[in-house]
Amino acid sequence: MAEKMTRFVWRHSARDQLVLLFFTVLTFPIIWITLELPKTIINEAISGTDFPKTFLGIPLEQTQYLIALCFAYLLAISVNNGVKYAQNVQRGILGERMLRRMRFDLYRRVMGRPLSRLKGTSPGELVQMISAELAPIGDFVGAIISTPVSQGGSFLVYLSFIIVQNPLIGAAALALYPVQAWLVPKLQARVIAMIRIRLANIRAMAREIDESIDGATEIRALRARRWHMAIVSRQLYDNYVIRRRIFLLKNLIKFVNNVANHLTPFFIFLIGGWFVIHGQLDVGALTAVLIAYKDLAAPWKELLRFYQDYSDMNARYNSVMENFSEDGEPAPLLDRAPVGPHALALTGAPVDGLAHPVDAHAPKAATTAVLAEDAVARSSLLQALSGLVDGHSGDKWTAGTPILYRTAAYVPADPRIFAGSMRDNLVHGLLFRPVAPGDDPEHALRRREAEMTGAPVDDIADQWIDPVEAGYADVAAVEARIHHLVHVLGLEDDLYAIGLLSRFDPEQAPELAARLVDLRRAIAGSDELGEMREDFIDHWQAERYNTNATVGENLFFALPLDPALRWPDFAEDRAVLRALDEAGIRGMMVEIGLDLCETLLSLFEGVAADSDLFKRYGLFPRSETANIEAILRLGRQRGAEKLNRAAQSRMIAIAFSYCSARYRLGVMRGTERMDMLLAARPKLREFAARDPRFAPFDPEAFHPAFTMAENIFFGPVKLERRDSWAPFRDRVDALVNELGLRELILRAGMAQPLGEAGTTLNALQRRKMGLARALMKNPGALVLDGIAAGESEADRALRALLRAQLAAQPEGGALVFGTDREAAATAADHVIRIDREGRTSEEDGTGEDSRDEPPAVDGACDGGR
Amino acid sequence: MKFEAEVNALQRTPMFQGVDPSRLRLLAFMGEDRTFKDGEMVVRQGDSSDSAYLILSGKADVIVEFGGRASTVAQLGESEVFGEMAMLCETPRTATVQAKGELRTLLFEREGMLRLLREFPEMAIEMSRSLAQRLERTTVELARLRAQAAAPAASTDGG
Repeated sequence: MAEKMTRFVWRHSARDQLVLLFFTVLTFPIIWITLELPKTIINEAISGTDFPKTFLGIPLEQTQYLIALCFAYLLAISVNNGVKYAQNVQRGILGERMLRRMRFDLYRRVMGRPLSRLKGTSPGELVQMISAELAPIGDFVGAIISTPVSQGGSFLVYLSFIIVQNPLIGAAALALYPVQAWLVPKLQARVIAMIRIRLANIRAMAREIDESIDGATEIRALRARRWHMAIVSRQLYDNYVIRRRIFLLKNLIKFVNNVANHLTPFFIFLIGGWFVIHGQLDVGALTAVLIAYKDLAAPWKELLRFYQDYSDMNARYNSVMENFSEDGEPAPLLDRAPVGPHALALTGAPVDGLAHPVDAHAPKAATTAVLAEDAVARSSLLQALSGLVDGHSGDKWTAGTPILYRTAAYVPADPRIFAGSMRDNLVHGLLFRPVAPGDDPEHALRRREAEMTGAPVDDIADQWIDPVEAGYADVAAVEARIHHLVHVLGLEDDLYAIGLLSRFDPEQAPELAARLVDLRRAIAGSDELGEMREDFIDHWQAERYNTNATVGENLFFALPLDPALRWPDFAEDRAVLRALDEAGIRGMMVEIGLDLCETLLSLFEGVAADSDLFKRYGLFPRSETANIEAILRLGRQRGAEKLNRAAQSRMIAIAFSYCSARYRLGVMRGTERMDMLLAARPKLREFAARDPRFAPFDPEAFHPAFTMAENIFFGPVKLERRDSWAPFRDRVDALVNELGLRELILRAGMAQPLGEAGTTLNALQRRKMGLARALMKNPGALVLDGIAAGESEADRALRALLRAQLAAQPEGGALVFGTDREAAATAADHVIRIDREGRTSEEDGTGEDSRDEPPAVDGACDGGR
Repeated sequence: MKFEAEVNALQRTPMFQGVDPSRLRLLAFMGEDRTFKDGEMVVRQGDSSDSAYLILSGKADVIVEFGGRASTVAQLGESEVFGEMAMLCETPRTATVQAKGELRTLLFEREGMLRLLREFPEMAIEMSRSLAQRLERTTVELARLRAQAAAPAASTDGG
């Protein structure tokens, strides 16, 4: 793609462009007809004599002739516009395909960059380039050939028509165009220069924004926030200045064009009129010339705009491509593994960060330690052993048959969790390439589009997992392994917790919903569990206020169906406000809101502006303080009813989100207000039941906005008993197990999306998942960088556990780990030592580590540095 | 307000004496209620810790397990704080605390407390002062016990 824009476009869309060209050329004769007909209408039909005339072989009287010609004109115009429609649609499709191709090409080049360069790439800048900067190029590309041809052609057609009528008038019409043709390119060159500067400016701004977010902690720590805001402010200012200049220049070009446009009719009237007066030109021709001249303005404008756009787009295109000119295809990952006695080997390999070429190996079915003080050198060597090298020649490896991606699995200390569910993450190492096409009807369509736009035909709806190639008997074996690893690595309880906290649509799994409600009834009905439930759960009851839930939930005794929405989101909804009015508590809600705001503001009075405390413990964002203070002043002075609707809604929203047990701010005035809210509940509950957006709480029914746990207990856990409810929870877990629900809940947990970069998980859980993911690949060698790196009991237990898992490999799996502890390293079977000068040496260890027994399943894997 | 009562309890606590009342109100607001029935464990020895507790009402036994034997070393009552070392560092719990009768406490999570201490460093100074006093008392007691342990050995030797 590092060629010129026109070449690129032509190469990939030549055929479509020619089709477009055909449509374009088709319009020319039609345009001529639309010019001739008015002339004929005026000359022959209106001021003509000698009737009847023949039209298409039929003799017609004057009026009939007029009508016939007028309809013919109408037809010509319609056909002209019809062809134009077809042209525009074709152009749009062409442009979109080109855009897709360009964007994907850029993405592919980026992904092919060597790892070292990739780490230095700013994602913000790239996203800016791929989405915003390329977008207008795509629109333009569809028209790159057809526009000059169609507009230029139209221009020539109109011009020829004028010249044919009378050459002198033609000359007059043509007079001012050369002037424009000279002036405009000069101005345009200035515009291009400005555009390049603007693009650089926007990119710098994207980089700065990226940096502000990435380095947010540092910026706060250094108190440099205002400096960074000043940077962006300045960049925005510069952007404004540049855009203003561009704007002025572009309008100057338009101005020149318009002046020329209006000057010429003056000449036409003068010269043409003179000729008509002297009988050398008929009125019809003059009129037609004027029409033609008016029509001339449009193609000329389009041509000018095309020229400006072309320079603009070219500048953009070149500006983007400069960043990718040297990118080629990604270096292919080695697809061969060494055979012989070793699981992994390097011979005379240059490794990043190590001074000398490395000879090192990890023997099969054994534990190897990489010992070094420098963590970076350790990481480099471990990565090199795993085959994650940038650019290499094939002679460092001997020929072998297993596919490398399965041979070594590298796990860093903080593994990246990808967007998706736990299951998606665990099978990530098996998604090498599609093995069988998916079977949805749109598959063929997507494939055709991909082929036409240079995108790969890999479809995410295809089957990507090949069980046999990955070392499993069949797909069921893969699923079983997932569950086994989850169990062995101690993720099962986490998975269970995730499952309990997940929500699902009861329509999708009615049986599970019914069984959960059965469980609910069983717990409520059981003597022992029922009593414990009373103690620990604030379960929903129609006649009681639930202090562990929000005011909104208490009032309506319902929740919005969409789990992403809560009652405060509906504080501005007309229907909701009306319902509050009818129940007579709208005023009180506003009062509650005001009380809350007053108390919170006084509590946080001395707290600094950029403190986190407010965010964590407040009910409204810090930035809104001024607004809230204003509302408070007004509300206290003039009364709650005098507040405008927006202010009232804001107060109601805050009131809705108040939870007594959590905030304990006493706005409920003992039970006074609670009683009033309870009194309003029946009416509001009815309202919620009627409105399809909300679902009321029903002790006999599953609630789609509750998590599974909330459905089982039918209410929140009492905040004040939260530290002691473990015995109850364990009893319920045992019951869940008895009823066979544990499996279903685990499966729900497995399918639950994990949030961006796995932020819902803690570091330990992420690490366990990284290990599980690596083991799923059935690797010949597991390489740990920063995990189980010490000599503590927990580290040794983890190593023993992983060894046990690897032992199932056909030739025995190798475990490689990095460490800086001499004792831990010498306990391994084989040691690779890196000294301070970056030299490597190998020696045998005592093998003590390998003799450790793997621990019992519970309690394993909670260590590891 | 319910939490006004808690503010009073905080004011009576030696560790928080000398801290500005408005800060105490904020501290009380950030705390969470936790109640325990007779015999329930509040914290267990060896658990990872990230919170401190203030007793609002009731009593609690402090039990230390050493060499396989558990013994009650102290009993805590109203306005006493325990687990405060967890606020400042990530040590495992040094003892088990068990409720004796109905126990009402206020829990403070480390994250929130640290944020608060960063905001109001004078609170940190007050807390450190109280911890230092406690350390001094503990050192004196330790010295006394050592002397006591050495004395009978000396007498049996001599005897």
